[in-house]
Amino acid sequence: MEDQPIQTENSKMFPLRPVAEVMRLARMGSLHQSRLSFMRVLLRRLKSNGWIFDRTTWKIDEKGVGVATYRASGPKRSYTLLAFAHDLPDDLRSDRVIAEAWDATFTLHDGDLSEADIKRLSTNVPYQEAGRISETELTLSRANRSVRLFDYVATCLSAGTQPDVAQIEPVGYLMRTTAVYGSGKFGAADRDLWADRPEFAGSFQPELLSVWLIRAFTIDMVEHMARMRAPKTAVKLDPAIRRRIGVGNSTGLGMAPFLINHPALIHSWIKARETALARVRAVKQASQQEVDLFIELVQRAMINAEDWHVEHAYQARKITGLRDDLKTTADYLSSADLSVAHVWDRLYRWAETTLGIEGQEQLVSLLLEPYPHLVDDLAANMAADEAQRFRIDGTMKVDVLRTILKETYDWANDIDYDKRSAQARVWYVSEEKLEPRLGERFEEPIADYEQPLAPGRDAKLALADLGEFAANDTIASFLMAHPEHRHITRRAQLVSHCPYGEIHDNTIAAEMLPIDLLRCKLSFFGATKFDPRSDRWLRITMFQGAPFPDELGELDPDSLVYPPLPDSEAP
Amino acid sequence: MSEASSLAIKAARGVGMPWGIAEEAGFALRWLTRSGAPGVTALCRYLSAYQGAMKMSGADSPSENTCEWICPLRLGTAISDGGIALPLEQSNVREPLLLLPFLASHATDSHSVVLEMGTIRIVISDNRFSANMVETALLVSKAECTIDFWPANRDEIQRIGNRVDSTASECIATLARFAHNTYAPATEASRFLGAGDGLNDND
Repeated sequence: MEDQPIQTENSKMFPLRPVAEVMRLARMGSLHQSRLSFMRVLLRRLKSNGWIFDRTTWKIDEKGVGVATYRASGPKRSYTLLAFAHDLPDDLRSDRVIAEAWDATFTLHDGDLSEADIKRLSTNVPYQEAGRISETELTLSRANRSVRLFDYVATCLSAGTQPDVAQIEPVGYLMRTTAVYGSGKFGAADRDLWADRPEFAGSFQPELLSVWLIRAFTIDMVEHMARMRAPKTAVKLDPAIRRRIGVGNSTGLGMAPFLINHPALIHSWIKARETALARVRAVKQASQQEVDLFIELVQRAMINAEDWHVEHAYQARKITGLRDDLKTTADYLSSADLSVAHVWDRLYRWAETTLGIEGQEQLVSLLLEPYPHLVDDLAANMAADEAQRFRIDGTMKVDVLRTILKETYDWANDIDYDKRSAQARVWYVSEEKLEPRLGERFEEPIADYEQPLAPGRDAKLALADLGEFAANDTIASFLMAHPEHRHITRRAQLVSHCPYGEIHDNTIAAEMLPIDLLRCKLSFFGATKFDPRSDRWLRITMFQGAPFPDELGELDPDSLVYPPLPDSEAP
Repeated sequence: MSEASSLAIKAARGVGMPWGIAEEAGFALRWLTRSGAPGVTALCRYLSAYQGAMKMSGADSPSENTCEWICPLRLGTAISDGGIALPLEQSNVREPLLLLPFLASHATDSHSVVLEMGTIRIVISDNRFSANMVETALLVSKAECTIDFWPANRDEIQRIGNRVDSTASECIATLARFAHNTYAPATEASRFLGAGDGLNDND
């Protein structure tokens, strides 16, 4: 990707937003899905490459127990989602990673499934982490029903009526996945085995293909249960109502360290989004069509914000602010002259001084919408192999490393790590479930198990020891004497090439909110309706509004992401 | 392979190595496994010796004085970083097979690197190696090593095909045991606080 500021025909330069502004936890925790989100990249690609989909197996009994398969066939290869539906007693239903049983379990198989494959997988997939899949499988996942909505929709359908959209919107899904494992987990294919397949270019494409097919399964399940209850009266879901049902997901701390552990990848994601924003700000003259679409999308984002309900006080406050910000934006748009040159840059600069961070980031996502030709190609850059920058440059001089550390971690200068509050937290992995957790350094015996997820602190420690070395000494000699700084040295060298890969905040501070990390990652997935259930785990909705496999050929997935205006005709 | 590499990092950390060196153990295991060498066995044997030495010395890490051996990961990273120049003669390198991935960083189009241990000779290019003995014979617990450059076109050593690391499953269990040392035992408080207790998750 280019490192030059964005330039348009009138030579006005539009630099990317500074790393120090973008890579703050408060802003990362305010990101919204956009054209560059991986769910949208996936659906655009499936559509443009003419993929076709069919349900190849449906052996589900009247209790909702059995097997189903969904096949996606593309230009060269096919993939099959294998779903096992279980009869889970209500008291065993938990989204926590410590659960051991689920309403449904899934795997995405590479190619068509044989009976032998299904038999092999039937003794493993239902047990999730306790089972084993093979390198012909790409993902492993499970889902639980939304008690709130599943029974309501099944009851409506069995009585021959359609469910009320007003009941659906606040929940947004019939089932929520509680983990979607990929890349070499539990025996699944290593990323190396499929990374060069064009259908999976970008990030997390096999996982999201699984989720999108799981969404179709959840609808089939609720329609099946309605039919089992009342075969004579049951009806299918109306397509427009059906589209407002996504897939939920519960996500906990397991995802948070990922953002710190993959700096090259995170840099590629953030930089793509920042580049897209700079390109749109550089548009000299917006067309009437682009302006009209933008105004419509602001209205639709307002509906989305109105339908976004959470109990958690932190997010509830942010949503209130977002609603106000969108109203302020709509008012501004109705009074401003939108035919001026560089209207989007003006709008963005107005937003910087007028809106809250949540509203600013919503605006950034909305600004990208009318410009597929400026934005969508950037998705191809949103992947990185961390291993490529693994090797330390030992010939680097001590003064160069010192400069990198000082510049990259200048934000840590204001942090006094001797204070308890600055080091209050410890990221560790629990023995019980082998999952990342966050503990209290001064209250629990966990410091010995600390994961290296506090780069700001570690950079300061390395800088202190670098003081013993001459400016001309090599990093190789420094690391022979101080192997404990090898991790942060490698990181600093990498981040000097990937500046958007480093979070400019203290990740072990007492006041740090892991949900900010989670939301950043999930927004790049394309998630909506972030619903924190504590400061460490949250629920989201995926693919709400998106076409289903049987309608992808006819519909434009990008035009369906925001909820429709009340008076618009459903496709 | 990514699972094995991640296990190696945790296992090396689990016996007390700094994170940055443990990451090199992950890199080394990935390189060796991809090249058909018994990397799991070599790493398992080395980490077992490392842990044993730590218990005996009671120190934070086995010092070269007390253990009278050279750590292949420390030596390898120093060579890879350029802190120790080639050619090199070094006595008492423990599990020298683990050096290979680091020596590979010094191989170029015009020259490979050769590692000799007595009658064993291993020629290393940037992404593979060839040896004059079968892989299992390369599992040497401690050796006097000579490392030098080797003209790339002088490839007289027959490449040996990939073989299954026969003792791997036992070794993986050992590595998993070491990795376990990086996991904090659960307490009632951590079970709920650490993962984030919160609102009802069954609605």
